[in-house]
Amino acid sequence: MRAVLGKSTALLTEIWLPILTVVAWWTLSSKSTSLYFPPLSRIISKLGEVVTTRFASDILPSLQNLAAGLCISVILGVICGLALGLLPPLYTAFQPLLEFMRAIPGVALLPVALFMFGIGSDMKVAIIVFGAFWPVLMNTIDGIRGIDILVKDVSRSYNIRRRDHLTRIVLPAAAPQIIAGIRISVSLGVILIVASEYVASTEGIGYIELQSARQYYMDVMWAALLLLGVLGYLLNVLFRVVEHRLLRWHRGLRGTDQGGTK
Amino acid sequence: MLVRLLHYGRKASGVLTIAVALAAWELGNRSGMLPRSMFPSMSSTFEALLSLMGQARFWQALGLTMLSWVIGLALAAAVGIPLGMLLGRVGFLYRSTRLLIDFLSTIPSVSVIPVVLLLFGATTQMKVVLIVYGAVWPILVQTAYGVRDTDRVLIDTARSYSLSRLRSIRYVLIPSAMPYIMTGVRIAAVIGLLLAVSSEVLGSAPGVGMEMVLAQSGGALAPTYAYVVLIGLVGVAVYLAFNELSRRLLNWHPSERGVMT
Repeated sequence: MRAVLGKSTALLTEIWLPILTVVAWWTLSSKSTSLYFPPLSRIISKLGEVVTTRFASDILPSLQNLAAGLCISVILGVICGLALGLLPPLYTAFQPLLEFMRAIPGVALLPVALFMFGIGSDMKVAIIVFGAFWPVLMNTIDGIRGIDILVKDVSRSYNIRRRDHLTRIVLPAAAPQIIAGIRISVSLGVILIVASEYVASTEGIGYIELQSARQYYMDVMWAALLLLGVLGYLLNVLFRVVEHRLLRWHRGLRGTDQGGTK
Repeated sequence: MLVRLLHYGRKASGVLTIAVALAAWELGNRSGMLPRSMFPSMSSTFEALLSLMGQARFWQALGLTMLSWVIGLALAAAVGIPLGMLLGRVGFLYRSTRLLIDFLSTIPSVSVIPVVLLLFGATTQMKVVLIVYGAVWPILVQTAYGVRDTDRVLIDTARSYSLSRLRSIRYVLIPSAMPYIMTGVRIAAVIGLLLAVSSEVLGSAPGVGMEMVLAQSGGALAPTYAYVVLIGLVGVAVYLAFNELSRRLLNWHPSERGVMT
Protein backbone atom coordinates (compact mmCIF):
# COMPACT_ATOMS: atom_id res chain seq x y z
CA MET A 1 0.00 0.00 0.00
CA ARG A 2 2.69 2.41 1.03
CA ALA A 3 4.77 1.42 -1.97
CA VAL A 4 1.85 2.16 -4.28
CA LEU A 5 1.37 5.51 -2.60
CA GLY A 6 5.06 6.26 -2.92
CA LYS A 7 5.02 5.35 -6.58
CA SER A 8 2.02 7.48 -7.36
CA THR A 9 3.47 10.54 -5.61
CA ALA A 10 6.68 9.98 -7.55
CA LEU A 11 4.70 9.85 -10.77
CA LEU A 12 2.74 12.93 -9.75
CA THR A 13 5.91 14.93 -9.09
CA GLU A 14 7.14 13.99 -12.53
CA ILE A 15 4.04 14.96 -14.46
CA TRP A 16 2.30 17.84 -12.69
CA LEU A 17 4.44 20.51 -14.34
CA PRO A 18 4.16 19.22 -17.93
CA ILE A 19 0.39 18.90 -17.49
CA LEU A 20 0.15 22.37 -15.97
CA THR A 21 2.20 23.76 -18.85
CA VAL A 22 -0.10 22.27 -21.47
CA VAL A 23 -3.22 23.40 -19.59
CA ALA A 24 -1.81 26.91 -19.18
CA TRP A 25 -0.89 27.07 -22.86
CA TRP A 26 -4.34 25.80 -23.83
CA THR A 27 -6.31 28.27 -21.68
CA LEU A 28 -4.05 31.28 -22.21
CA SER A 29 -4.05 30.83 -25.97
CA SER A 30 -7.72 29.82 -26.34
CA LYS A 31 -8.89 33.37 -27.00
CA SER A 32 -5.67 34.45 -28.65
CA THR A 33 -6.03 36.60 -31.73
CA SER A 34 -2.30 37.09 -32.06
CA LEU A 35 -1.00 36.21 -35.50
CA TYR A 36 2.06 34.46 -34.11
CA PHE A 37 0.48 32.54 -31.25
CA PRO A 38 -2.72 30.82 -32.37
CA PRO A 39 -4.85 28.82 -29.90
CA LEU A 40 -3.36 25.46 -28.98
CA SER A 41 -6.62 23.74 -29.91
CA ARG A 42 -6.17 24.91 -33.50
CA ILE A 43 -2.53 23.81 -33.55
CA ILE A 44 -3.52 20.35 -32.36
CA SER A 45 -6.22 19.97 -34.97
CA LYS A 46 -3.75 21.08 -37.66
CA LEU A 47 -1.29 18.56 -36.28
CA GLY A 48 -3.87 15.83 -36.80
CA GLU A 49 -4.47 17.12 -40.32
CA VAL A 50 -0.76 17.16 -41.15
CA VAL A 51 -0.20 13.67 -39.80
CA THR A 52 -3.15 12.18 -41.69
CA THR A 53 -2.96 13.99 -45.03
CA ARG A 54 0.76 14.47 -45.46
CA PHE A 55 2.14 11.28 -43.99
CA ALA A 56 3.14 9.67 -47.29
CA SER A 57 4.17 12.88 -49.02
CA ASP A 58 6.25 14.52 -46.29
CA ILE A 59 6.64 12.62 -43.04
CA LEU A 60 7.65 9.34 -44.65
CA PRO A 61 10.39 10.87 -46.84
CA SER A 62 11.83 12.63 -43.78
CA LEU A 63 11.94 9.39 -41.84
CA GLN A 64 13.35 7.44 -44.78
CA ASN A 65 16.17 9.88 -45.38
CA LEU A 66 16.91 9.98 -41.68
CA ALA A 67 17.00 6.20 -41.43
CA ALA A 68 19.19 5.85 -44.53
CA GLY A 69 21.59 8.53 -43.32
CA LEU A 70 21.87 7.06 -39.86
CA CYS A 71 22.38 3.50 -41.12
CA ILE A 72 25.21 4.59 -43.41
CA SER A 73 26.76 6.67 -40.62
CA VAL A 74 26.69 3.80 -38.16
CA ILE A 75 28.11 1.23 -40.57
CA LEU A 76 30.83 3.56 -41.86
CA GLY A 77 31.57 4.86 -38.39
CA VAL A 78 31.98 1.45 -36.81
CA ILE A 79 34.09 0.08 -39.67
CA CYS A 80 36.42 3.07 -39.83
CA GLY A 81 36.46 3.22 -36.03
CA LEU A 82 37.53 -0.41 -35.85
CA ALA A 83 40.38 0.19 -38.27
CA LEU A 84 41.59 3.32 -36.52
CA GLY A 85 41.04 1.95 -33.04
CA LEU A 86 42.93 -1.29 -33.68
CA LEU A 87 45.85 0.40 -35.45
CA PRO A 88 47.14 3.15 -33.14
CA PRO A 89 49.75 4.53 -35.58
CA LEU A 90 47.01 5.00 -38.16
CA TYR A 91 44.96 6.85 -35.59
CA THR A 92 47.75 9.21 -34.59
CA ALA A 93 48.37 9.95 -38.24
CA PHE A 94 44.75 10.68 -39.04
CA GLN A 95 43.75 12.39 -35.82
CA PRO A 96 44.46 16.04 -36.78
CA LEU A 97 42.69 15.63 -40.12
CA LEU A 98 39.70 14.01 -38.44
CA GLU A 99 39.52 16.69 -35.75
CA PHE A 100 39.38 19.32 -38.47
CA MET A 101 36.71 17.56 -40.52
CA ARG A 102 34.67 16.92 -37.42
CA ALA A 103 34.78 20.57 -36.43
CA ILE A 104 32.84 21.58 -39.55
CA PRO A 105 29.19 21.82 -38.52
CA GLY A 106 27.04 19.73 -40.89
CA VAL A 107 24.83 22.66 -41.77
CA ALA A 108 27.85 24.59 -43.06
CA LEU A 109 28.19 21.92 -45.73
CA LEU A 110 24.72 22.46 -47.14
CA PRO A 111 25.92 24.89 -49.81
CA VAL A 112 28.71 22.49 -50.79
CA ALA A 113 26.33 19.53 -50.80
CA LEU A 114 24.14 21.47 -53.21
CA PHE A 115 27.10 21.72 -55.59
CA MET A 116 27.81 18.01 -55.26
CA PHE A 117 24.43 16.36 -55.15
CA GLY A 118 22.01 18.99 -56.36
CA ILE A 119 18.54 18.96 -54.86
CA GLY A 120 17.00 15.74 -53.61
CA SER A 121 17.25 12.83 -51.23
CA ASP A 122 20.92 12.15 -52.01
CA MET A 123 21.89 15.56 -50.78
CA LYS A 124 19.91 15.13 -47.57
CA VAL A 125 21.30 11.68 -46.84
CA ALA A 126 24.83 12.92 -47.55
CA ILE A 127 24.43 15.83 -45.14
CA ILE A 128 23.19 13.49 -42.41
CA VAL A 129 26.07 11.09 -43.00
CA PHE A 130 28.61 13.88 -42.85
CA GLY A 131 27.24 15.16 -39.56
CA ALA A 132 26.25 11.93 -37.84
CA PHE A 133 29.31 9.88 -38.81
CA TRP A 134 31.72 11.58 -36.38
CA PRO A 135 30.21 10.70 -33.01
CA VAL A 136 30.02 7.02 -34.02
CA LEU A 137 33.57 7.03 -35.34
CA MET A 138 35.10 8.86 -32.39
CA ASN A 139 33.26 6.82 -29.80
CA THR A 140 34.15 3.55 -31.52
CA ILE A 141 37.81 4.54 -31.48
CA ASP A 142 37.62 5.60 -27.83
CA GLY A 143 35.77 2.44 -26.90
CA ILE A 144 38.37 0.22 -28.51
CA ARG A 145 41.32 2.16 -27.14
CA GLY A 146 39.77 1.94 -23.70
CA ILE A 147 39.74 -1.87 -23.63
CA ASP A 148 41.78 -3.29 -20.79
CA ILE A 149 45.25 -4.29 -22.02
CA LEU A 150 44.91 -7.45 -19.94
CA VAL A 151 41.88 -8.53 -21.92
CA LYS A 152 43.76 -8.07 -25.18
CA ASP A 153 46.75 -9.98 -23.87
CA VAL A 154 44.62 -12.84 -22.65
CA SER A 155 42.92 -13.02 -26.02
CA ARG A 156 46.29 -13.11 -27.72
CA SER A 157 47.84 -15.70 -25.45
CA TYR A 158 44.85 -17.98 -25.90
CA ASN A 159 45.40 -17.63 -29.61
CA ILE A 160 41.84 -16.59 -30.23
CA ARG A 161 41.05 -16.32 -33.90
CA ARG A 162 41.09 -12.84 -35.34
CA ARG A 163 37.44 -12.94 -36.22
CA ASP A 164 36.36 -14.13 -32.79
CA HIS A 165 38.66 -11.57 -31.22
CA LEU A 166 36.80 -8.86 -33.14
CA THR A 167 33.24 -10.04 -32.72
CA ARG A 168 33.43 -11.50 -29.22
CA ILE A 169 35.94 -9.30 -27.44
CA VAL A 170 36.55 -5.99 -29.16
CA LEU A 171 33.04 -5.11 -30.32
CA PRO A 172 31.21 -6.06 -27.11
CA ALA A 173 33.79 -4.23 -25.00
CA ALA A 174 33.39 -1.11 -27.10
CA ALA A 175 29.60 -1.44 -27.38
CA PRO A 176 28.63 0.94 -24.56
CA GLN A 177 30.74 3.70 -26.09
CA ILE A 178 29.55 2.95 -29.62
CA ILE A 179 25.93 3.10 -28.54
CA ALA A 180 26.51 6.36 -26.70
CA GLY A 181 27.94 7.69 -29.96
CA ILE A 182 24.95 6.48 -31.98
CA ARG A 183 22.66 8.26 -29.56
CA ILE A 184 24.40 11.55 -30.24
CA SER A 185 24.21 10.76 -33.95
CA VAL A 186 20.47 10.27 -33.79
CA SER A 187 19.85 13.73 -32.36
CA LEU A 188 22.32 15.26 -34.83
CA GLY A 189 20.58 13.39 -37.63
CA VAL A 190 17.21 14.90 -36.72
CA ILE A 191 18.74 18.38 -36.71
CA LEU A 192 20.36 17.82 -40.09
CA ILE A 193 17.33 16.32 -41.79
CA VAL A 194 15.31 19.39 -40.77
CA ALA A 195 18.09 21.72 -41.91
CA SER A 196 18.38 19.99 -45.27
CA GLU A 197 14.64 20.27 -45.78
CA TYR A 198 14.78 24.02 -45.30
CA VAL A 199 17.08 24.37 -48.26
CA ALA A 200 15.79 23.87 -51.77
CA SER A 201 13.42 21.08 -50.86
CA THR A 202 9.84 20.28 -51.78
CA GLU A 203 9.02 17.68 -49.19
CA GLY A 204 9.57 16.81 -45.56
CA ILE A 205 8.43 18.00 -42.16
CA GLY A 206 10.99 20.81 -42.17
CA TYR A 207 9.66 21.90 -45.55
CA ILE A 208 6.09 22.04 -44.19
CA GLU A 209 7.28 24.14 -41.28
CA LEU A 210 9.26 26.67 -43.30
CA GLN A 211 6.69 26.88 -46.06
CA SER A 212 3.81 27.56 -43.66
CA ALA A 213 5.93 30.11 -41.80
CA ARG A 214 6.56 31.93 -45.07
CA GLN A 215 2.86 31.95 -45.87
CA TYR A 216 1.94 32.97 -42.33
CA TYR A 217 -0.02 29.78 -41.63
CA MET A 218 1.11 29.97 -38.04
CA ASP A 219 -1.02 27.08 -36.82
CA VAL A 220 0.53 24.71 -39.38
CA MET A 221 3.99 25.97 -38.53
CA TRP A 222 3.49 25.30 -34.81
CA ALA A 223 1.99 21.92 -35.64
CA ALA A 224 5.06 20.98 -37.67
CA LEU A 225 7.37 22.21 -34.91
CA LEU A 226 5.41 20.19 -32.37
CA LEU A 227 5.62 17.16 -34.63
CA LEU A 228 9.40 17.55 -34.88
CA GLY A 229 9.62 17.89 -31.12
CA VAL A 230 7.58 14.76 -30.54
CA LEU A 231 9.59 12.91 -33.17
CA GLY A 232 12.89 13.94 -31.60
CA TYR A 233 11.64 12.99 -28.17
CA LEU A 234 10.26 9.62 -29.24
CA LEU A 235 13.48 8.70 -31.04
CA ASN A 236 15.41 9.60 -27.92
CA VAL A 237 13.15 7.52 -25.68
CA LEU A 238 13.21 4.62 -28.12
CA PHE A 239 16.95 4.73 -28.20
CA ARG A 240 17.20 4.82 -24.44
CA VAL A 241 15.09 1.65 -24.28
CA VAL A 242 17.26 -0.09 -26.88
CA GLU A 243 20.39 1.02 -25.04
CA HIS A 244 19.02 -0.28 -21.77
CA ARG A 245 18.19 -3.64 -23.31
CA LEU A 246 21.43 -4.09 -25.22
CA LEU A 247 23.65 -3.10 -22.36
CA ARG A 248 21.94 -5.07 -19.63
CA TRP A 249 24.93 -7.40 -19.34
CA HIS A 250 27.24 -4.45 -19.08
CA ARG A 251 25.47 -2.92 -16.09
CA GLY A 252 25.34 -6.30 -14.40
CA LEU A 253 29.05 -6.66 -14.94
CA ARG A 254 29.91 -3.30 -13.50
CA GLY A 255 27.30 -3.53 -10.80
CA THR A 256 26.44 0.10 -11.34
CA ASP A 257 24.04 2.05 -13.41
CA GLN A 258 26.06 4.04 -15.89
CA GLY A 259 23.17 6.15 -17.00
CA GLY A 260 23.98 8.98 -14.60
CA THR A 261 21.82 9.99 -11.69
CA LYS A 262 18.33 8.70 -12.10
CA MET B 1 65.04 11.09 -25.60
CA LEU B 2 63.20 8.26 -27.23
CA VAL B 3 59.90 9.48 -25.81
CA ARG B 4 60.65 12.92 -27.21
CA LEU B 5 61.42 11.47 -30.60
CA LEU B 6 58.25 9.42 -30.52
CA HIS B 7 56.28 12.53 -29.61
CA TYR B 8 57.66 14.42 -32.59
CA GLY B 9 57.10 11.40 -34.77
CA ARG B 10 53.42 11.46 -33.87
CA LYS B 11 53.09 15.12 -34.61
CA ALA B 12 54.92 14.66 -37.88
CA SER B 13 52.64 11.82 -38.96
CA GLY B 14 49.59 14.01 -38.33
CA VAL B 15 51.02 16.89 -40.32
CA LEU B 16 52.07 14.50 -43.06
CA THR B 17 48.56 13.07 -43.37
CA ILE B 18 47.10 16.54 -43.78
CA ALA B 19 49.74 17.38 -46.37
CA VAL B 20 49.02 14.17 -48.28
CA ALA B 21 45.27 14.84 -48.16
CA LEU B 22 45.77 18.35 -49.51
CA ALA B 23 48.09 17.06 -52.23
CA ALA B 24 45.60 14.36 -53.18
CA TRP B 25 42.90 17.02 -53.43
CA GLU B 26 45.05 19.11 -55.76
CA LEU B 27 46.17 16.13 -57.86
CA GLY B 28 42.67 14.68 -58.03
CA ASN B 29 41.48 17.99 -59.32
CA ARG B 30 44.24 18.52 -61.87
CA SER B 31 43.89 15.01 -63.24
CA GLY B 32 40.13 15.40 -63.48
CA MET B 33 39.39 12.56 -61.06
CA LEU B 34 37.42 14.97 -58.92
CA PRO B 35 34.78 16.55 -61.15
CA ARG B 36 35.65 20.22 -61.61
CA SER B 37 32.00 21.23 -61.52
CA MET B 38 31.80 20.09 -57.91
CA PHE B 39 35.26 20.64 -56.47
CA PRO B 40 37.55 23.63 -56.87
CA SER B 41 41.24 22.83 -56.70
CA MET B 42 42.97 23.03 -53.35
CA SER B 43 45.17 25.89 -54.46
CA SER B 44 42.28 27.98 -55.76
CA THR B 45 40.34 27.36 -52.54
CA PHE B 46 43.18 28.67 -50.40
CA GLU B 47 43.75 31.52 -52.83
CA ALA B 48 40.09 32.41 -52.40
CA LEU B 49 40.45 32.22 -48.63
CA LEU B 50 43.45 34.54 -48.74
CA SER B 51 41.72 37.05 -50.95
CA LEU B 52 38.65 36.92 -48.69
CA MET B 53 40.88 37.65 -45.74
CA GLY B 54 41.94 40.86 -47.43
CA GLN B 55 38.38 42.16 -47.47
CA ALA B 56 36.77 44.18 -44.68
CA ARG B 57 33.42 42.58 -45.48
CA PHE B 58 34.77 39.16 -44.60
CA TRP B 59 36.05 40.24 -41.19
CA GLN B 60 32.79 41.99 -40.50
CA ALA B 61 30.87 38.80 -41.26
CA LEU B 62 33.19 36.71 -39.11
CA GLY B 63 32.90 39.28 -36.32
CA LEU B 64 29.10 39.13 -36.43
CA THR B 65 29.11 35.33 -36.29
CA MET B 66 31.49 35.21 -33.35
CA LEU B 67 29.73 38.06 -31.54
CA SER B 68 26.37 36.29 -31.58
CA TRP B 69 28.09 33.08 -30.49
CA VAL B 70 29.85 34.74 -27.53
CA ILE B 71 26.74 36.61 -26.35
CA GLY B 72 24.52 33.56 -26.77
CA LEU B 73 26.91 31.27 -24.93
CA ALA B 74 27.43 33.76 -22.09
CA LEU B 75 23.68 34.20 -21.64
CA ALA B 76 23.12 30.44 -21.76
CA ALA B 77 25.74 29.98 -19.02
CA ALA B 78 24.33 32.84 -16.97
CA VAL B 79 20.89 31.22 -17.07
CA GLY B 80 21.88 27.57 -17.10
CA ILE B 81 24.41 27.37 -14.27
CA PRO B 82 22.34 29.02 -11.47
CA LEU B 83 19.18 27.27 -12.60
CA GLY B 84 20.99 23.96 -12.83
CA MET B 85 22.33 24.41 -9.30
CA LEU B 86 18.86 25.15 -8.02
CA LEU B 87 17.43 22.07 -9.71
CA GLY B 88 20.32 19.99 -8.46
CA ARG B 89 19.80 21.06 -4.86
CA VAL B 90 16.01 20.83 -4.71
CA GLY B 91 14.97 17.28 -5.49
CA PHE B 92 11.33 18.15 -5.91
CA LEU B 93 12.07 20.76 -8.57
CA TYR B 94 14.48 18.40 -10.31
CA ARG B 95 11.90 15.65 -10.62
CA SER B 96 9.12 18.04 -11.56
CA THR B 97 11.01 19.68 -14.40
CA ARG B 98 12.70 16.57 -15.72
CA LEU B 99 10.14 15.58 -18.35
CA LEU B 100 9.66 19.13 -19.55
CA ILE B 101 13.39 19.75 -19.88
CA ASP B 102 13.81 16.39 -21.57
CA PHE B 103 11.18 17.27 -24.15
CA LEU B 104 12.33 20.84 -24.76
CA SER B 105 15.95 19.80 -25.14
CA THR B 106 15.20 17.08 -27.67
CA ILE B 107 13.30 19.41 -30.00
CA PRO B 108 15.83 19.75 -32.81
CA SER B 109 17.10 23.28 -32.16
CA VAL B 110 17.34 24.05 -35.87
CA SER B 111 13.57 23.65 -36.19
CA VAL B 112 13.08 26.72 -33.99
CA ILE B 113 14.67 28.88 -36.71
CA PRO B 114 11.42 29.66 -38.61
CA VAL B 115 9.77 30.78 -35.35
CA VAL B 116 12.57 33.08 -34.17
CA LEU B 117 12.94 34.32 -37.72
CA LEU B 118 9.32 35.46 -37.73
CA LEU B 119 9.53 36.99 -34.27
CA PHE B 120 12.87 38.77 -34.59
CA GLY B 121 13.70 38.89 -38.30
CA ALA B 122 17.12 38.06 -39.75
CA THR B 123 19.05 39.85 -37.03
CA THR B 124 21.81 39.22 -34.51
CA GLN B 125 19.10 39.25 -31.83
CA MET B 126 17.42 36.29 -33.56
CA LYS B 127 20.72 34.42 -33.61
CA VAL B 128 21.34 35.08 -29.95
CA VAL B 129 17.86 33.85 -28.96
CA LEU B 130 18.38 30.69 -31.01
CA ILE B 131 21.83 30.04 -29.55
CA VAL B 132 20.60 30.57 -26.00
CA TYR B 133 17.76 28.15 -26.63
CA GLY B 134 20.04 25.46 -27.99
CA ALA B 135 22.99 25.95 -25.65
CA VAL B 136 21.20 26.32 -22.33
CA TRP B 137 20.11 22.67 -22.05
CA PRO B 138 23.48 20.92 -21.83
CA ILE B 139 24.71 23.50 -19.32
CA LEU B 140 21.56 23.24 -17.23
CA VAL B 141 21.40 19.45 -17.24
CA GLN B 142 25.11 18.92 -16.61
CA THR B 143 25.15 21.45 -13.76
CA ALA B 144 22.19 19.75 -12.12
CA TYR B 145 23.89 16.34 -12.50
CA GLY B 146 27.10 17.71 -11.03
CA VAL B 147 25.41 19.27 -8.03
CA ARG B 148 23.44 16.10 -7.36
CA ASP B 149 26.64 14.12 -7.56
CA THR B 150 28.28 16.16 -4.80
CA ASP B 151 29.64 13.97 -2.02
CA ARG B 152 27.11 13.90 0.85
CA VAL B 153 29.92 14.00 3.36
CA LEU B 154 31.14 17.29 1.91
CA ILE B 155 27.70 18.84 2.20
CA ASP B 156 27.21 17.56 5.73
CA THR B 157 30.64 18.78 6.76
CA ALA B 158 29.89 22.22 5.37
CA ARG B 159 26.66 22.22 7.33
CA SER B 160 28.19 21.08 10.59
CA TYR B 161 30.78 23.80 10.31
CA SER B 162 27.77 26.05 9.76
CA LEU B 163 29.12 27.50 6.55
CA SER B 164 26.81 30.18 5.21
CA ARG B 165 24.76 29.23 2.17
CA LEU B 166 26.79 31.44 -0.13
CA ARG B 167 30.06 30.02 1.12
CA SER B 168 28.95 26.43 0.79
CA ILE B 169 27.90 27.16 -2.78
CA ARG B 170 31.23 28.84 -3.46
CA TYR B 171 33.47 26.31 -1.72
CA VAL B 172 31.56 23.04 -1.97
CA LEU B 173 28.95 22.93 -4.69
CA ILE B 174 30.66 24.85 -7.48
CA PRO B 175 34.07 23.14 -7.21
CA SER B 176 32.56 19.69 -7.01
CA ALA B 177 30.20 20.31 -9.94
CA MET B 178 32.90 22.03 -11.99
CA PRO B 179 33.87 19.05 -14.21
CA TYR B 180 30.22 18.56 -15.14
CA ILE B 181 29.67 22.26 -15.72
CA MET B 182 32.70 22.43 -18.00
CA THR B 183 31.45 19.44 -19.98
CA GLY B 184 28.11 21.18 -20.39
CA VAL B 185 29.78 24.42 -21.46
CA ARG B 186 31.98 22.58 -23.97
CA ILE B 187 28.99 20.87 -25.56
CA ALA B 188 27.11 24.17 -25.51
CA ALA B 189 29.99 25.94 -27.25
CA VAL B 190 29.90 23.49 -30.15
CA ILE B 191 26.10 23.62 -30.39
CA GLY B 192 26.25 27.40 -30.25
CA LEU B 193 28.63 27.55 -33.18
CA LEU B 194 26.47 25.12 -35.14
CA LEU B 195 23.41 27.26 -34.48
CA ALA B 196 25.17 30.53 -35.29
CA VAL B 197 26.18 29.17 -38.69
CA SER B 198 22.80 27.47 -39.20
CA SER B 199 20.87 30.65 -38.56
CA GLU B 200 23.02 32.37 -41.17
CA VAL B 201 22.81 29.59 -43.75
CA LEU B 202 19.13 28.83 -43.23
CA GLY B 203 17.77 32.14 -41.98
CA SER B 204 20.00 34.53 -43.96
CA ALA B 205 21.12 36.36 -40.83
CA PRO B 206 24.26 38.37 -41.51
CA GLY B 207 27.50 36.47 -40.89
CA VAL B 208 29.90 33.95 -42.37
CA GLY B 209 27.13 31.47 -43.17
CA MET B 210 25.23 33.98 -45.24
CA GLU B 211 28.37 34.98 -47.13
CA MET B 212 28.86 31.31 -47.93
CA VAL B 213 25.31 30.94 -49.25
CA LEU B 214 25.78 34.07 -51.36
CA ALA B 215 28.96 32.61 -52.83
CA GLN B 216 27.20 29.32 -53.51
CA SER B 217 24.16 30.85 -55.17
CA GLY B 218 26.50 32.91 -57.32
CA GLY B 219 28.11 29.68 -58.46
CA ALA B 220 31.46 30.68 -56.98
CA LEU B 221 32.94 27.30 -56.12
CA ALA B 222 36.28 28.25 -54.60
CA PRO B 223 34.98 30.91 -52.18
CA THR B 224 32.21 28.54 -51.00
CA TYR B 225 34.77 25.90 -50.12
CA ALA B 226 37.02 28.56 -48.63
CA TYR B 227 34.23 29.40 -46.20
CA VAL B 228 33.82 25.73 -45.30
CA VAL B 229 37.55 25.51 -44.53
CA LEU B 230 37.32 28.69 -42.48
CA ILE B 231 34.35 27.44 -40.47
CA GLY B 232 36.20 24.19 -39.82
CA LEU B 233 39.21 26.13 -38.55
CA VAL B 234 37.00 28.22 -36.29
CA GLY B 235 35.44 25.01 -34.98
CA VAL B 236 38.87 23.54 -34.21
CA ALA B 237 39.92 26.76 -32.49
CA VAL B 238 36.78 26.73 -30.33
CA TYR B 239 37.31 23.08 -29.46
CA LEU B 240 40.95 23.58 -28.51
CA ALA B 241 40.23 26.76 -26.58
CA PHE B 242 37.58 25.08 -24.43
CA ASN B 243 39.75 22.03 -23.82
CA GLU B 244 42.50 24.34 -22.61
CA LEU B 245 40.06 26.31 -20.48
CA SER B 246 38.69 23.24 -18.78
CA ARG B 247 42.22 21.92 -18.24
CA ARG B 248 43.17 25.17 -16.52
CA LEU B 249 40.03 25.32 -14.44
CA LEU B 250 40.23 21.71 -13.39
CA ASN B 251 43.94 21.19 -12.86
CA TRP B 252 43.32 20.89 -9.11
CA HIS B 253 40.76 18.18 -9.66
CA PRO B 254 41.71 14.62 -8.63
CA SER B 255 42.19 12.86 -11.89
CA GLU B 256 40.66 9.63 -10.66
CA ARG B 257 37.26 11.24 -10.77
CA GLY B 258 37.86 11.21 -14.47
CA VAL B 259 36.81 13.34 -17.36
CA MET B 260 33.07 13.23 -17.84
CA THR B 261 32.11 13.23 -21.43
